[in-house]
Amino acid sequence: MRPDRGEKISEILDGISDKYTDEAAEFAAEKSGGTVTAKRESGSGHIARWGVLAACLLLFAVIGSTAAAFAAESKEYNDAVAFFEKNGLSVEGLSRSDVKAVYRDIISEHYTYGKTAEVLRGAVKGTEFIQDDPGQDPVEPVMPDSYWRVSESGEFSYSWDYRYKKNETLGFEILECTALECSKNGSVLWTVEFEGMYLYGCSHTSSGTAVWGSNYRWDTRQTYYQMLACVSDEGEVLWRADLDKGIRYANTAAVMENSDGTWTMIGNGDGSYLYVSVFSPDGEEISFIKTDIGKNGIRNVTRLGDGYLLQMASLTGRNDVLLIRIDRFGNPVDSFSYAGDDCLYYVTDMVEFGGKVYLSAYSVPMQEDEGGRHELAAILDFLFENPAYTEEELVQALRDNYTAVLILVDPEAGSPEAFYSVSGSLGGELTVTGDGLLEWDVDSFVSAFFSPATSSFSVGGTCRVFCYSFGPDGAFEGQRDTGELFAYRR
Amino acid sequence: MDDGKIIELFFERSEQAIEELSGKYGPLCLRLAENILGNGSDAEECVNDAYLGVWNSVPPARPDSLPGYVSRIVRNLAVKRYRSNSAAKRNRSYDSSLDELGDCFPSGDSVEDEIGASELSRALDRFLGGLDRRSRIIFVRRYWHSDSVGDIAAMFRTGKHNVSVILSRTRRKLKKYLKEEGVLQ
Repeated sequence: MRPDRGEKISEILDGISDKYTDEAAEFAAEKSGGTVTAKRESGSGHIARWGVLAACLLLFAVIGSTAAAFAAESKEYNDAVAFFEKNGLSVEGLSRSDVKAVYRDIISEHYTYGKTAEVLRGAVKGTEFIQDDPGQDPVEPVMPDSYWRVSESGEFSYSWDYRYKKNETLGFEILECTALECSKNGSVLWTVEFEGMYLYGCSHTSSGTAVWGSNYRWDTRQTYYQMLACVSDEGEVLWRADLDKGIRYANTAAVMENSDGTWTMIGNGDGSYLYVSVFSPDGEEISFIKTDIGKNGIRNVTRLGDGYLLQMASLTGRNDVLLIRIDRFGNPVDSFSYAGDDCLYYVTDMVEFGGKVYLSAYSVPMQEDEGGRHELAAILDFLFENPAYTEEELVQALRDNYTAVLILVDPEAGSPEAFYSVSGSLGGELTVTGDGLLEWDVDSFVSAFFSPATSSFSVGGTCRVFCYSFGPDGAFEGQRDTGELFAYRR
Repeated sequence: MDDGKIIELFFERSEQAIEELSGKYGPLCLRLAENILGNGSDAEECVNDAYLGVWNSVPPARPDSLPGYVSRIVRNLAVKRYRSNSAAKRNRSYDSSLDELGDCFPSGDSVEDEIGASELSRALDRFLGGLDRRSRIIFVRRYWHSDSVGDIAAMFRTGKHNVSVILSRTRRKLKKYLKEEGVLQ
């Protein structure tokens, strides 16, 4: 560029309104406490991302509380300190005038004082784990599970496959049966075939294995049955129920065992109903409740006290995280919704542990593009803007895009109490071990490839699985490289 | 110390005002001067001159935003000094941030060049007013404060790649906006 041209651009920039340059200067000053630095502060890497959420939740708790007139400075300060204590806010690092200013800011509901957000953000404990470098070793691309579907339930694991045969009358193949195989510690315990049943999932209970699915239809005029069966640990089908609930398309998300030995079947019908059936251990249906929940599917179910917590998946492209709490019969009790202002969150698993709910998730920066594939938008932009990219650069772009997040939620209030984050990774499965530990899988990118010609995904890769352990009191115990690899496809 | 209190100290003509200003916003000012001038004694001199500028102008001025106010003085002084520097002292990273905007403004080889800088500034201002806050701060930090993409990414606790994408989209939008406004063919 010619120097005079640079000067002209500089001159144009000189004319930017003070309000915008002030805004940017204050932002930098606020973020760095008066200094601008490129260094990341250890332990606070992603607090800001949850900051707005945390602040909003906290604000609901504090708005409407103490409001008084303050005559003397000391009285105002004492009131402010009491307010901080009452609402669990920290005065650490704040001057006397800061404490009063934040106090005024909150009770007046203005939220304009620079330190207010910092104080509110600090009310939720956040920790960024610095993970061991997963490296970029040459690893063979991992292929996802192929034909056999696999499900884990405690020490039992299940795999199944669908068998089809040609119907001579119809002239095409229809489902003959689902072959289900149960293993324990790597040894096959039993194999059972379910004729005409399209199996969706199974789980182990004290009464045996719960198996659920539906009948196979090739004509929409055929009646749709949901199916539930119980198989003993010896491989005998103890009972099987074919249920006609007037639902055209049902998707059972889980069958969970209650403390009295009954089973609760939870699913989504016709893309807008939550259905919950309770069964006795011998297969008698005790109750059935169907509730309109809008265009939501069910992604995860976890037990919560005597009821259940459901993580919903929007069928309309909504991006916030929605949790619905139900009692054991399926009556909705409460719902919680979470959203960040500059990130999208995708919850991958959830579990109850130590009386709290843990959500495993990953976040990606909010994109401005309309339409789908928000999660991958930045990666696709990178690929199209850098056609000569190297694999190393693509791996780095993926690491820049994803952050694994573990959120600890209070089950009563729904408010987040703590969270942990790991940069460059995806939050994976949560498991409560037999030793009473909570294990959180974190999948870190080690290789990547672009596959524009594949219909089922555009970007693939391999992640190294790290495991983070937490004790019964929620205290972090350590991380380890499991040596396992995970296939990433989007 | 609270910014209001620092300004009061300037009004009281207390030399402690400079100390407080330097303690609170010194690194911010030095970074801005270094972004434009490159590392070196020039940047430090520029910041010291800026403190003197604040001392001479407050009062009567009572800035709404102290970091914004001192940043403007630092930038003005740094850009002025940069323009007078010889070619040998050019700062490539500052030039490259201006380069990025090269496509968005008239090239200077046509009648469009008749459009004055002040008119383009007003158009840029209107454009910035229509942006979301995050994109606007990123844009202003990059091109007015001349921050590196890495510094901005750290500030927003996000990846460098994400910041580059946001900047690239904002520049595209700016170019489109200026065309629609009739200041760019």
